[in-house]
Amino acid sequence: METLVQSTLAAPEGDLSFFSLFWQAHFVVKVVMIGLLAASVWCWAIIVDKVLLMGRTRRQMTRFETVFWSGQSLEELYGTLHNRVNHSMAALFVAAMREWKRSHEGAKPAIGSLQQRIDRVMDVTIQREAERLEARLLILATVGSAAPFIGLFGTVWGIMTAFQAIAASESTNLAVVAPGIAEALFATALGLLAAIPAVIAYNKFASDVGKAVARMEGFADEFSAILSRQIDERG
Amino acid sequence: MRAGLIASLTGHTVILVWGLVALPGAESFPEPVVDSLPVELVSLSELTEIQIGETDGDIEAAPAPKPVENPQPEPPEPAETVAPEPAPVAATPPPPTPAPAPAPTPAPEPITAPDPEPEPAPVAEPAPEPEPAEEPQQAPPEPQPIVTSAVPRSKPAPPTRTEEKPEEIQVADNPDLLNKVNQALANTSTSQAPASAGTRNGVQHAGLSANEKDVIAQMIREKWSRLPDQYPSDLKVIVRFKLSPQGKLSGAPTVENSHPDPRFQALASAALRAVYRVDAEGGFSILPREKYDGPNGWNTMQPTLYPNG
Repeated sequence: METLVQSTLAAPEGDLSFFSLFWQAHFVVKVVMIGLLAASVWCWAIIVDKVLLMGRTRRQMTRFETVFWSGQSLEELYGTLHNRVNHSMAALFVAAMREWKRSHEGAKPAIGSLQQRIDRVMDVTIQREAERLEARLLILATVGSAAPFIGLFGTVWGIMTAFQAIAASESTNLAVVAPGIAEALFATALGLLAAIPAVIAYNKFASDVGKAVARMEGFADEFSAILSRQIDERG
Repeated sequence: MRAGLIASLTGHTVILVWGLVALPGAESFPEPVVDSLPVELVSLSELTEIQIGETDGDIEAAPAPKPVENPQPEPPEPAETVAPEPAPVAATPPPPTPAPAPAPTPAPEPITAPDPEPEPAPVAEPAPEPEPAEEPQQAPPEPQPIVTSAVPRSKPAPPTRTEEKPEEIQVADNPDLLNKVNQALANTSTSQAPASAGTRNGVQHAGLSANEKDVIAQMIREKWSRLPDQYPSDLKVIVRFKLSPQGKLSGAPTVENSHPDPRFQALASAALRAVYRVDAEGGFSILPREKYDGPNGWNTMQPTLYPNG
């Protein structure tokens, strides 16, 4: 009696590991799962990349600010920086100093609208830097908003085929229904797995980019004020 | 970007492998342990069916309780003394009208039975009661002294309940006796089937079980139109009617008793009408055909109806 009960209970129990869930799924659901997995991989690549980039940018800006406000001569600083590939504040400084230098290179210094030109050059540089920081953040936003729907699509498709299979097998036993629904729900799980980190990372990086841009703009204003004073003193 | 991609791929691979290896799969829900109870289905007929014994077989075959303690010093009488008088060993009641056949000269001649029946069934009814004075209806409770003398007298009751296996039952070795019994059965039974000396399984027609009789009585009671009143508790109507094997009424039902109560006549005639109505609706056809025959079969029914309730 007991062995009979146990055998009937144990019969429908299948392997419900990740791999078997994927392997038993319908073709469409498989495609959805693979796509979601790729999206998750790509998202995490972007996240890791952005984390490194943001940390590097913050460190560079802090280091540059300490050097800049240490009382070192601007000419010397420009001399050490202008041959490198610079980012963020250093790029701002180099762009502004390059415009300053060029304005004083000729026989007759073009100082009249030098202030406006420096401001414009620094604005362009800030825009370029912000673009660099924001690159691929839209992918995170897209994945964060679309992945649950893609997973839901896989789930709906899987449940649909599961119900068709149930109708074909003419059995309403829950043990027949359950595996198909479980593997269908696995698609939604993958979608959420990809979407949740993407949304969180997008929000964090968006605010990080905003902060970095604000910091650069502040520096640009300060540097513009210094240059403006120099122009007025020389003029 | 390459570092990020490599890190992401590595992380996903690690998580997938970990999920394959270490993440436990869904465990089945714990099943509450249900104690199993042994259930036996016992039909009422198992209790009401009574096997019949043989009339003049071996007395030693009876599983009489052997007194281990206090053995009766009285020497048991030899079984040969039983032979001339076939006393009813079985607890089955004898037929209602036992023909007082003449003494069945049980000469122990080893004559084989003329019709080789596959089942050597016993004599169904101990009809050939040699002493007509003795009332046959009281056979079961009364231990026949001759029979019980074969076993120790410590317990008088068990010998009447001898349950003998059909294999042990032997054909009465006197063909004359068989013929007489057949005749007696043919007189009492309304069945067209040839009355045999025994029944198929060595089991007497036990007739309807108690609940089947109750069903019949209840069907009649439902059709019994009577005024709701407080009737005396001893007021009852016993109707008697005969049925055909097809479950139809044969002959007119009769009332078997009487009562001084002035309402009795009305109740009795209403009961007779109730029997007719049950018959008209085919109520008697539910009775099992195999229990029709025999003195206890439903060829004749005699339900007792109480007007109260």
